[in-house]
Amino acid sequence: MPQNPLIVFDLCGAYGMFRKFYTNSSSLSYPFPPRTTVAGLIAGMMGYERDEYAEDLGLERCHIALSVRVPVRRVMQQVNYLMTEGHVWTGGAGGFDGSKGPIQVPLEWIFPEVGYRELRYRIYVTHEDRRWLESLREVLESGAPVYPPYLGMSECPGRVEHVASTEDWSLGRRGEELPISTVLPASALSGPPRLGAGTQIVKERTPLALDERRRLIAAGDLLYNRAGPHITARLESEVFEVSYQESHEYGVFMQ
Amino acid sequence: MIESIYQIGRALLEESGGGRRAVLESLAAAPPRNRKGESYITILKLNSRKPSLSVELRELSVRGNDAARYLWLGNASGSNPQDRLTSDNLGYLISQNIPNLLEEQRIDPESALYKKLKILVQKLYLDLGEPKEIGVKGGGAYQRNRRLWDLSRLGIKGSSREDLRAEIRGGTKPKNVPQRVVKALRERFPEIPESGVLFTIELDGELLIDDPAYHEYLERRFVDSAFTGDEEGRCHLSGEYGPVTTDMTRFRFKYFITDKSGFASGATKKGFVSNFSLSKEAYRALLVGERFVGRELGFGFAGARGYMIPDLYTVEIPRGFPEALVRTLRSIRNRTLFDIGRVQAGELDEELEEFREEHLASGYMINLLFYKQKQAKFEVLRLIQDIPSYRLEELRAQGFETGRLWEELYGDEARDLTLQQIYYLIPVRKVRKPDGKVEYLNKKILAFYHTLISGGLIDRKELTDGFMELARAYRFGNTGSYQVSAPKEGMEDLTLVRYLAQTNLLLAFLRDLDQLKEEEVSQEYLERLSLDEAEKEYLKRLGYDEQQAALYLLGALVAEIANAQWRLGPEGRGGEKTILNKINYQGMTLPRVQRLATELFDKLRQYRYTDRSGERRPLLQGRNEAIFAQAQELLTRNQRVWRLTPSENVYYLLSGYSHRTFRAMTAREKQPA
Repeated sequence: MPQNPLIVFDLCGAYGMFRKFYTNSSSLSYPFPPRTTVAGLIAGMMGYERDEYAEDLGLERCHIALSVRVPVRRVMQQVNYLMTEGHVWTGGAGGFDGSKGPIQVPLEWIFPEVGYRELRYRIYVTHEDRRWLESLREVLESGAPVYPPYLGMSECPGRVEHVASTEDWSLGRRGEELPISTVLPASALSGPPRLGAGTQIVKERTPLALDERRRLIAAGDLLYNRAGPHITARLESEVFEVSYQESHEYGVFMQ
Repeated sequence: MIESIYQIGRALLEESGGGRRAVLESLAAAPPRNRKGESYITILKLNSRKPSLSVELRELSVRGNDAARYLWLGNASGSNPQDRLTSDNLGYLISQNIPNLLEEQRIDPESALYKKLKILVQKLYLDLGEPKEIGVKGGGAYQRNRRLWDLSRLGIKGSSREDLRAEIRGGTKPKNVPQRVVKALRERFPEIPESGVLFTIELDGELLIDDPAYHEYLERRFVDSAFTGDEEGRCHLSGEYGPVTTDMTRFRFKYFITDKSGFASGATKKGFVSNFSLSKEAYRALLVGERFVGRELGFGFAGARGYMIPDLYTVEIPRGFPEALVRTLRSIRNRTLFDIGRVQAGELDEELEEFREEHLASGYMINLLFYKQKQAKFEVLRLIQDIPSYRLEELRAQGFETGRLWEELYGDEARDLTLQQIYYLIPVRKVRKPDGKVEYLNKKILAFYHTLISGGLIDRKELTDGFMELARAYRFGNTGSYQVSAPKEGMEDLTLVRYLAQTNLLLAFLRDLDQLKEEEVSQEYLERLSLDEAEKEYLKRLGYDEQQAALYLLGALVAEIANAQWRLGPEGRGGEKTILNKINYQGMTLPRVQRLATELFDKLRQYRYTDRSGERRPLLQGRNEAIFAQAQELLTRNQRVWRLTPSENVYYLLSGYSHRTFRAMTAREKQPA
C-alpha cells in the first residue's frame, strides 16, 4: 500500500443502531458501526449511489479502522413496524401500505454511557488513491456531505467532525506488546490479549465488505474492550502508528 | 450469541472427530425424566427367525449424554412424518415410524437396513386396510396409523386386526389405535416405566440405530435438506464461499425470520441471502451447538427458563483429556449457578470448580437467554449479553458483604443477598391459564436483572412502589397472585416485617454498588437528633434523608403501640395489633400522615407498659416522647417541600415499624428461657 495520508474523523450522535446480521425481527445491535456501515457512511458523504461504491471502498483499496471513544450502553425498546405479507411492494395486499396493521418489535439502541452527552466513534481511513482521499478530506472539511451521516439507521441522525489528515503515520509489523486504540480483528492477535483488572473484551462477528449486489464478501471477529480505551496485545498483523494533534496511537485496520 | 453457539458446535465437532455418527450424537436431545429425575431406555429386542420379543431396561445417566448413544434426536416436529428409530413415544415406534422410513426412498433401498426393515414389516405388521374397506375417511390420521405391530405374531395377547377394524368402525379415532398395542405391551412387560423412558429396537441382536444407512438418512434429514436450492454465497459465520442456505426453520433459537420479505434486503425473498446465509459446515455446527446448549446449559431462574451461553473468546480450551470442552462449559455453568445464588457454596461441584480455577482464569463472557416455550414457538423473554465472568462474581461478593448489614441492623444472623433471593423481593404477578398452567409475568424482573447485571441505575421510587405492592399482598393475604409463598399461620406479621427488612437490604446493596438512582442527601440532621445508636446507625447506613427519617420515627412509634397491643392478649401475648389498621397500604398523603401522628400521640398516652419496678406507665414518656417530638419537628420543617409520594410515605413508615419490631423479636428470641 502506498503511503498516502491517513484521514481521521469522528462520527458522533445521540444514539445509534447497528443491526447484527443475524437478527432482523428482534434486532440486536453491534456496539460500534461495522466496517460495511462505515464504508456506506463515507460513500454517502461523498455522494456515491447505493450500488456504486463496493469497489472503491472495498478491502483491497480502502483501509478503515475504528475506535470507540465513548463507552456505550444498550437499551432495548419496542418499536412499531408494519406487518407485511405477500409481495411487499404491492399496495393493498398487506405490503408497505399498512393494511396488515402494526407489529411491535424489540430493537436494541446504542446510547452513550451515563455521564456522556453523545456517542463518539473515531474513524481512520486511508486509500490507495491519493485523489480519492483528497476529495474525502474536502467533504469533511467543508462540513457539507452529499448525503447526511447517520448512525446505522436513518432514525439516528449523526454528524462528522474532521479531526486530522496526516502524513505522519506508518504501517508495519511490531514484535512488542502494544496498546491498540481501535477495535481489533481477532485474526490479528498472535496470543491472547492482556486481561488487566476490569478489562471487558467483547467479540463481535461483523461483516467486513459487501459486493455491488450487497452480498457478503468477507466477515470477521472483532474484539473490543468495553471497559476502556485500549486492548493491550501482541500482534502478528500490521499495526499502524499515528501522531496527530496531541495524540499518539496504535491501530489495526478492519480486514 | 450466535457466534458463541457456533463456536461451541464447531469445537464439539472438532473434538469428536466430526464423523457422521459423531455429528448425530452431538445433536442428541435431553431424554425425558420421571419425577425422581431418572431416565431409562427400553430396548425392544426382536428376533426375526422365530418371531419373539423381549425387553431390556437400561438406565441413562443424568450427567452424561447417554441418550446420544441411542441417537435420541427428538421426534419429528409438527406435521412431518415420524421417522425415528429411537423415540419417547412407543405408539410411534410400533406403528408409523418404520413404514415411513421405507417410503419415498428415505432409507436407501439398496441398503441392508432397508431389506431388514422391509422383512420386519412383512413379518410383524398388520395393515388395517384401505379406508373404504372399513368405511372411514382416508385422512392423514388414518393413513399414519393403519400399519402397526401384530402382537399375536409375537405370541403376545392383544387386539387382532379385526378387533381394531371393528373399533374404528365403532368410532375409535385412528390416532388412538396404536395405544391398544402399547397397552398390551405394557401389560406383557410391566417392567417398562410409566414415564421418563425412551424406546429403541434391536433386531436379531443389533440395534437398528447403529446402521450407517440410518445415519445417512438422518444427516440428510437434519442438514442436507436445508440445502436444496442452488444458492451460492459466502457463509456469514465461517466466511467460506460455496452452497449456502437461508433456511433457519430447524433452529430452536430463532435468529432470523425468513418468511417475511419485509425483513429481507431489498424487501424481496432473494434478499435473505444478503442478510444472513450459512454454509453446511456452519449450519451443522449451529445445530450441534444449539442442542448442546439445550441439553447442558439450561437453568431455571426468576420464574423463567434460561440458557447460559458462554463466549470463550480467549480461552484455550484445555485439550489432552477427554471431554475437555464439555467440562469447560459445565464448570462455567456450575459457577454461574453459584454466582446467581441458585446453588450455595456447599452444593458447588468441587471438581468442576477446581477445573474452572485452573483453566478459565483468563475470563469469559456469558450470555443469559431467558425464553418461553409455547409448543413449537420459542419466545425470547430477555437476553442479557456479554456479561464478563467476574461481573456475576462481583455481585455475589457484594451480596455477601451487604448481607453483614442484616446482623448489624437487626441483630439477627447475617445472611447473603443473592440474585436468587432478590427475586422474592420484587413483585412478579402470576396468572393461571385456562389449561391450568401458571404463568409468571416476569418481564419486569428480568429487566431489573438486566439493568443490575449491566451496571445501570435503578430507580428507587419504582422499587419502593414494587415493595409496597408485595407488602400489600402479605398484609391482605393475597400472596397467591404473586411468586411468593403464603406466610405460615400466626407468622403473618413476622413475614411482613422480615420482608420489609429485606427490601432495605436490597436498597443498601444497590447503593453499595453505586447503582441506586437517588438524590444526594445530607445527613447532618442526624447530629441534632437524639436517638439510640441502633436507630442512628440504621438511618445512616440506609442513607435516609429528613423526610424519610420523620416517617421512620413515626413507624417506630407504631411498633411501640403495636407491641403494647400485642401484650394485651391472653397470657400477655398474641393481642391484635389494631394500630396497623390505621395505615393505608395503598398510600398516604402528607396530611394523612400528619393525622396519623396525632392519633399516635393519643395512643401513646393511652397504652401503658410495665417498668422494671412493676409499675404501669404510659408509653408517651422518655425515649418515645423524644422520638415523637423529633418526628413532628422533621415533618413540620419539611412539609412545604415534601417530595415523597403517598406510596413512599407508607414504605418508610413501615420501615420504622419493621426495624423496631424485628429487633424486638430477635432480642426476645435470644433471651434465655
